[in-house]
Amino acid sequence: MKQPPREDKGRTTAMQVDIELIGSLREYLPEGQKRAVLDVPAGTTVREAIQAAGVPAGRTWNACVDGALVYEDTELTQRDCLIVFPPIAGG
Amino acid sequence: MVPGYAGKILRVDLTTGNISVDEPEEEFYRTYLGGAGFVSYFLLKEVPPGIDAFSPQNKIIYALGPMVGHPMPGATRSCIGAKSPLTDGYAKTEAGGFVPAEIKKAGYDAIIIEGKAKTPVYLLVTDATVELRDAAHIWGKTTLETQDIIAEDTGVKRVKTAAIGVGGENMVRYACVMNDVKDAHGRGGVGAVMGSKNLKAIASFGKKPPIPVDPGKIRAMAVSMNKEFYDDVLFNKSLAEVGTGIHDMMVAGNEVGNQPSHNFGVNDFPETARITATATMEEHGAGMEGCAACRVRCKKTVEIEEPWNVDKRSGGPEYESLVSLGSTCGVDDLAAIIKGNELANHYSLDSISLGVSIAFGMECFENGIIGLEDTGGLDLRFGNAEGMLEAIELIARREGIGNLLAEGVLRASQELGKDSEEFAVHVKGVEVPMHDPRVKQGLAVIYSVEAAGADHCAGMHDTLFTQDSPGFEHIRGMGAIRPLPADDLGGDKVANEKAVHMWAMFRDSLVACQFVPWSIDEQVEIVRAVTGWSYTTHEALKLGQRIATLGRLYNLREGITSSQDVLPKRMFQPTKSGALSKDGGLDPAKMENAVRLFYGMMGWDEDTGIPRRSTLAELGLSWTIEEEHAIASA
Repeated sequence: MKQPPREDKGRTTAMQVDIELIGSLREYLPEGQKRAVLDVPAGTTVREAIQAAGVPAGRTWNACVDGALVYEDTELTQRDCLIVFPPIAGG
Repeated sequence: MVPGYAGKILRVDLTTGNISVDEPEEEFYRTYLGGAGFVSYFLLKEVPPGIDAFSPQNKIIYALGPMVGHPMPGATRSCIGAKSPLTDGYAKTEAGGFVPAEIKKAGYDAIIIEGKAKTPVYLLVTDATVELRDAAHIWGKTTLETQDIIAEDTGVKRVKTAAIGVGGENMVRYACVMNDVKDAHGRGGVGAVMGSKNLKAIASFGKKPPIPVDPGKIRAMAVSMNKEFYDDVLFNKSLAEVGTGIHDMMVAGNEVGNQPSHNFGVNDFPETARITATATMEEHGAGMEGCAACRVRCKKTVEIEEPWNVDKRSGGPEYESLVSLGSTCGVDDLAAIIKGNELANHYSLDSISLGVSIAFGMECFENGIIGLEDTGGLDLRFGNAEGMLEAIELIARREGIGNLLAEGVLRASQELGKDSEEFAVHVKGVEVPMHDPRVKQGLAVIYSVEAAGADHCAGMHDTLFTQDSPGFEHIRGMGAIRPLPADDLGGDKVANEKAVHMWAMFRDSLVACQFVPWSIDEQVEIVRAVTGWSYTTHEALKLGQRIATLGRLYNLREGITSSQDVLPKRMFQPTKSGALSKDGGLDPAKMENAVRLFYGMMGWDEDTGIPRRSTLAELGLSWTIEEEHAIASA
């Protein structure tokens, strides 16, 4: 599936990204918190943003922005809403 | 005697009543191992070409493997094979429970059943006796009633059954065989084959477990896995708490379009949170159960009184059932979905094919292809929960519109015409499972090429392997190349899928549960400990290739060619809303290229998918040509 073109919400030297951690990944946020706003440099990747939220390397996740799956090296833009969740599987 | 095995295959001819026992050489066991290996061998070798799936000449091959009967988590599974009434080709399907271990303890590694009984019978298999018993008093009963009646008949409370309900008796083309009432040999219609033979159930209890060559090793590995399971990131305690379909996974899956809704046409179901496994256990849960010797205990038990009575012993819905009877049909009524799952278990109907067939009916209804005059007044629109349940009853009894929907979406659409083919979501006649191939694009390749039709258990779920992780390390050992995005369809992705597919066929020969996270090397170690063979991972993957190749040869012989290794048109189109609504369709050229690469990697001709002569020789399958069971490519 082609990734839809990302809407540039305004590039700045630094930017803010909204991150929501779902399920067992919430243990990396303060108690009771599901979301955080990250202040990160422009061009921050998904991997970097997730690490900035406290999720350690080696933890398996899937992530999406606007419903589209994104991957470790996808660059985020200003005010992207990054949702990070345990892997999608099921039987 | 074959070390670690029972060493015997039971043969039953229902036409003559003849019962006999084969004792194959150890070489046979080493080459085909059990489970899917036995199924693939016997289907090609013994089932005559070109027969109707409901012919007495079709065979039911109920096969166990070297793990079954040994006290290890995830070891108690069986594999059933037959000529499929859905595909007219290869059917192969696994299930858990307790009955596989009982059959092994009764002294058999497999049961091969042919012919047709004049009147309904059940087969009783114990270490003391094998007999065909009258089943006239059970014909028409649910799988739950069947188990209770057989326990009374035999005077043995702990007797376990592999049974069919009225769905199988009426030869609904996707009828399944239920192990212990609630574990489904779901795909391919093997329950309909049993029904066509007037065989109601296989009932078993046994007292003589197989003896492994290295019992200490088996014990140590079991203890270690029982401790480690809960630490495994993918298969952790969420399975033990709610089974498959936990809230987070379903909500996320819906978010990205993986979870079908409205017959794969929408995949955007805001009510998802109402129909998850988490909601199931919170609102109706009655505890978790497991299969024999397994501490994971991932099986939901549920209980409902109103508005529909659901018996605690009927089993609860897995993810596939929650979605197939839920969002795929536009239904958000959890109690109705749970009831639908119970009906599927009691009537022995594959819940995936059932839900997708009903959804097909719903889409036809909403588009005016069928109307109230065809449905007998049943308002078969998406979202009608009571309509969904009524449809299940009609399908099981093959009444009214149920008779059409009981044929499966391929045949139903052929009969209806009027462009209803557009709504028929299947591969080779097998309805697509609840993981959308437009999201999991590597899995799309497996759906296309797998001999048994679209099978979500036969390949890699792309979204689990997009990063370096302990999970990816597991599949590196099978031959996977590198982590990749879910929508990558290049050569490395195909190689990843091929590796996992090979392992899946080996796993289905053991017959091992994929929810217990043994690595392939550990599973090979288990084979060594059971048998004393110097078995290797290389040998295991070669077996996987052997099984996949045998399945392909069988299909080719039955007239199923590479032209059927394609996903339905809907998968090349976006959905009406949600994540897949913009550029959501698969790229046909990339898919075709990926399928061709898969053929080549398997040692099959890239243009035709026909296994090469040299591949057959390498896999020890030259006999298939020499004995004229198959054709090969140069």
